[in-house]
Amino acid sequence: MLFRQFYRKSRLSRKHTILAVSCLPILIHTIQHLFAQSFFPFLTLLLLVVLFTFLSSIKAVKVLTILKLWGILLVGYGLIRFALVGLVFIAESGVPSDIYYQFDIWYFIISIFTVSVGIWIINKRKVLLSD
Amino acid sequence: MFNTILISCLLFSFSSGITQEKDTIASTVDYQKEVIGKLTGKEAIVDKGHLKQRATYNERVLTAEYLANELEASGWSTEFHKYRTPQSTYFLDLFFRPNKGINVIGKVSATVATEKHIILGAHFDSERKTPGAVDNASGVALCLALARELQNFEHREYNITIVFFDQEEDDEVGSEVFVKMIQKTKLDVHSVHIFDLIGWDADGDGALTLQSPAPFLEDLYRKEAKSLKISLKTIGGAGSDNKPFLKAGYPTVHPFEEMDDSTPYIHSPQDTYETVNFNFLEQSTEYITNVISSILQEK
Repeated sequence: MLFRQFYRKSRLSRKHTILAVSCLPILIHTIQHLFAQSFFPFLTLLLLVVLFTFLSSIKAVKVLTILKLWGILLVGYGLIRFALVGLVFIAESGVPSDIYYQFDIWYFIISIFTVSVGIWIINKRKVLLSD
Repeated sequence: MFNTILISCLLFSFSSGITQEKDTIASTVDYQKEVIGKLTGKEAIVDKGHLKQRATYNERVLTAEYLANELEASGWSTEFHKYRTPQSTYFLDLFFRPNKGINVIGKVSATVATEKHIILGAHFDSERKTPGAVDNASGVALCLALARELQNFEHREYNITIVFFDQEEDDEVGSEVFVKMIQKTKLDVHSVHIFDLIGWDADGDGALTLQSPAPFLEDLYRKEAKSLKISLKTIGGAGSDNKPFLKAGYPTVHPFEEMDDSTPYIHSPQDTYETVNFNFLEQSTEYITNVISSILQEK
């Protein structure tokens, strides 16, 4: 109930919510790694933020292009996650157990989500910009 | 008459002593059989079912809890060393959660004032789809049997830390984390003894290999081996949890089954309870106990 009220008050439309949620997997992943004193995902996120901020400051670069780039990155990230599953079938004995057991239901849900949202952003980027 | 009674009493006490000694040796073997049985799924581990492997995080936590209970039952104070670390490469860090594991640490203090520690270690995880009897329920069983003996020593010149390492099969993750911790806390280490693969002896010669021993440790191990008529070979390299200790410069030794007579079932589903040579394990346990005992009796 409270969440619905907050959601309406914040004036976030459904499409903008999806755009915001598209950043969640990488954000959660970064925080998990920070707790493990692992900084590479954070540095990667920082690089993306700097890149998009820089691109948005260039007049010649349209917001549509930036959205397309973000969509492509999400699709690429998701597809690489699927490709890594293939590795298990090719060279199972070389895969450490910690990684092997991370190919669980959540891994596939996040991979499907990332690819789906990436494709949606690429296709609907004009809609995203319209009110 | 009196002499007859005296001689009878002497004979009775002598035979009681022999029986007692046999019971002690038998109970070490029986204990190690029980430990390896539980770790390899031959028996239920506590009341929570049978372990078919010790590879998933939940299986390793269950094993860690069992090991902590066993150490506590032997009078050791225990703690869990839970950790999360980055994956082995930056690329993997982008796609996978951090490594998660749990080392089990048992401690018993020296009987004199000292800051020096002897570290005894064995990894408790196994490869996927393998019961991991020789690799490395055997090393764990040796350490637990040692724990029972060492706690009862009247004189201990050094503090003793037993560590059951997690994730050795994933490139020694648990021992790497442990070494970083003792470097940070500047633990004063006398020596490190790592036990991995100490349950196979097809030719029955009881021979052992020492991997990359520090010179003073090699001398010690050879001296005790001579008295027990155990054949020893020395090789270089680092094939187990001794790797991070060697890299950090700690005096380390890794005794294991003979190089040319090592389990052919390593990392396979055939590494089962039935392949463990318990006589060899018992003999090796007695040998290692003598070695550690000689260190603890040093002045």
